[in-house]
Amino acid sequence: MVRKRVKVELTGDVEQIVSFRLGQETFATMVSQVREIRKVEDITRVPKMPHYIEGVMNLRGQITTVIDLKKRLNIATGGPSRTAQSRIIVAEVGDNQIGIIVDAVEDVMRVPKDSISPPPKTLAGMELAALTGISKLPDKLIMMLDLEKVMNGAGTAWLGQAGTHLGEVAEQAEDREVST
Amino acid sequence: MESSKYLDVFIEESKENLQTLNSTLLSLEQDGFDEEGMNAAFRAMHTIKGTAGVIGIAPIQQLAHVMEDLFDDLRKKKETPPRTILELLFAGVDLIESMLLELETSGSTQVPVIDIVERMREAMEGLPATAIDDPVSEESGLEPDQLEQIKAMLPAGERPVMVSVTWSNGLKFKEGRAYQVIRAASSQGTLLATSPASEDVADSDEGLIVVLGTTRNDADILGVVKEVTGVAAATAQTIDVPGHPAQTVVSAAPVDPIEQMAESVPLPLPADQSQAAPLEPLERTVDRGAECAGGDDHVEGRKESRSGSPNGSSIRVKSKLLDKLLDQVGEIMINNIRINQIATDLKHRELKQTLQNNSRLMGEMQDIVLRTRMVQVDFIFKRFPRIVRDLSRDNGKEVDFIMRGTDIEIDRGLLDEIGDALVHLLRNSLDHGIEPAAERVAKGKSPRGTITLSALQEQSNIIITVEDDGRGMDPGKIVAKAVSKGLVKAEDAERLDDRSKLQFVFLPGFSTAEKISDISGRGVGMDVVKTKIEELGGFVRLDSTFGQGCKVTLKLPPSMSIIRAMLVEVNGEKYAIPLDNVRETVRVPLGAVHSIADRGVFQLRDEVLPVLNIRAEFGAPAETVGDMPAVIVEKNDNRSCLLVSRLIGQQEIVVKNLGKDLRQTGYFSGATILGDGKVAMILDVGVFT
Repeated sequence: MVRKRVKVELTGDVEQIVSFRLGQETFATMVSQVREIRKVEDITRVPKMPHYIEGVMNLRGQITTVIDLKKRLNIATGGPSRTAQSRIIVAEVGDNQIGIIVDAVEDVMRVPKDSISPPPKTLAGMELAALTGISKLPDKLIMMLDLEKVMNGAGTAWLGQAGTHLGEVAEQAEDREVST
Repeated sequence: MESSKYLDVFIEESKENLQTLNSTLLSLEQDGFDEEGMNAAFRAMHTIKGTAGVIGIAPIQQLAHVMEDLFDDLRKKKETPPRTILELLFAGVDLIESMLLELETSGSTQVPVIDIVERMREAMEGLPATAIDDPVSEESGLEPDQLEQIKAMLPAGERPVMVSVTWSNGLKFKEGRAYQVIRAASSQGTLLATSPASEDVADSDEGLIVVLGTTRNDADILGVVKEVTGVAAATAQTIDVPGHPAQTVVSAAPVDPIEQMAESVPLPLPADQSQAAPLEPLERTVDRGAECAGGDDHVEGRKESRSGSPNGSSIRVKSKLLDKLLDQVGEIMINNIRINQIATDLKHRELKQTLQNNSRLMGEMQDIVLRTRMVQVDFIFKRFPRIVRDLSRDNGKEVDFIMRGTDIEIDRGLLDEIGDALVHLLRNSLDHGIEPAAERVAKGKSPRGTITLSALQEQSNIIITVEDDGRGMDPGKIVAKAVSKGLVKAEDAERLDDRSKLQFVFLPGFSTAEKISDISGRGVGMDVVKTKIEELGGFVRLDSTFGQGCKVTLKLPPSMSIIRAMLVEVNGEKYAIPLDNVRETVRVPLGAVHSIADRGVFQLRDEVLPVLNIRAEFGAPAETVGDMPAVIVEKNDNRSCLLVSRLIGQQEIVVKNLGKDLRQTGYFSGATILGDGKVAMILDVGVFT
């Protein structure tokens, strides 16, 4: 996969993030929550589980639950659910270690803290706890997710609409940027 | 010295020492004076005092000090102390225990000890004076081996002399004076021992005894000793070694507390005689080497270590480290199976042979690691006599408590987990089982009740039973209660046999105690015991004859982490079923499955079993033709027949815990990693039976 790296002038505080793709959108999480990134393989399905629980895998002897983040966030893509780019992000969530399937891992990068704005208020009616902010980079917008909150179920309320709303969210973030 | 580093060690070590004290006090109360036991108790107390002093926990040190004096006094009197003193000692042990608990949780302790210390002092003054007033004329606490030691240390041509120094009245800072006396005495010969040990000299001491090996005459020695300020009087006398032990008073093993601390950190312990005694409890904890047949009790263990037998070396290891080690070994074994498969695919003979060798070595390694985690059940059992004693006293019931099979070995992790359950069962027996003496006599039973706690090994399982000869359980009463609590419908309950009726006590929220007692009947019931044991992969059985008694049987796997399991395939996915739950495997012709009220049943010999098609349950369309392999599983005496796609076979599996979210379904008790590195879920057959 070809990665487009965009040079960003880094001044002041930066946040180190891992960005990944779910459907068409780019999300990211703090590097500190990510332990490693693996290929999607050897997942054992567990019957009688919520649909977003993909199964379990053996991560160096530890049984690790794997979830499909797109299903968790109810992001419908229409495309194939797994591609060669699909990856498991192994994250540290609370005391647990959890595997999170994403469509592709894009980058590990530093973004200036200034570029991260809080989620737009127009979505305030929805539970936005898991969406901690939006980072506006010259060529794209990155939705910052708190994986711990995602796993705790916080923020799931907005997720149903997330797929359709994300575009709006992005635009609104853009607007805010202009207006400030 | 960095003290916090040693706090954990101190707490752990002291807990063990308190166990020793408790068991000594109990046997003192029941069987009268036992010199061996008293000495052990004294040493345990001494160790607690010394270590508490070193790491600066004043309240414990204070209390331990006066208790040590009391024990010292008692052991020299060689008779069973009066009840009041025993109670004081019990209270003291409890107080130290609670202080340790506080230390463990908060890192400091504020429990006031002045009161009990005062009471002990008073009690001690009430005793006929011995050591305190006149150390010279006192009966000897010296044991033959200590004399032997003096003899061994004695340089050739020197005679052993005991110098007794009496301090002048009101002398302060005796520790410093003692140091001067010891130095002065040393100039006259070879210093062999002092009593008390130089660092234990306190301002409350009346005098000091120094044992020297010397060629000088008594007058010379006394001359230099008397020059030291604060020495009111000094006498010297030749010790007859090994003739009359009664003439000497020597603390032959002045063990430096700091040294003891150092020994407690994971280091190989020297089989040093002088240190073997205070360190003895450690050996019981992790000692694999000294696991001699029988392993009767700690008295035996102590004898061994004191005689300096070579098997006395052991180390103290954090159990967490052992857990990690076991994990790692499990991982390596799994990897090894993988490599073996690759070697088979490659058809490389030499590689295969080397790997076979490797596999064997790893099997042995796993065995050893598992063994290091095993401890005798006594590790936990030994605290029960005290609990039973206190409870029976509180209840005003007379009980004989019998423990059997205390040498049975069990995984340490498991043992820790079942401790509370056992305490609960014992309390149940005492509170609800055993009747008051009058009621027992009226029933024609002996006035004293009996509670038996026993452990035994049955094949690879550990069976622990708690049995009492009390009033037993009344099935009628239990059912009435269950009905009143809405746990079961009256008409359903009537159809049950007595044994099934008893099983209601395992339901959450059930308690038959008419009177809520201090301990049991607080809502923590048999259901908690059952849940705990089943979580560990074991099971609970309850038998009771109304009026005759009650018996609870806990069946436990030998180890929490490795079990034998039957591997099956369901829709192309592999699942493991613990072999303990598998009764047999059969082929079931689908035509023979009849349906009764929505449920399939299958007649196997003369038993009608419910049939569960896991394939359909787990998401595949149900089969309609042919016959299917099936596993007859049982749990808690309930059986059912599980239809699977294929039987793979039996193998040992390493049980891994699941996260909470995965356990919630109730279908799986854990997971394991198969030879190909993939995860297989372990079926909890409880949901199917």
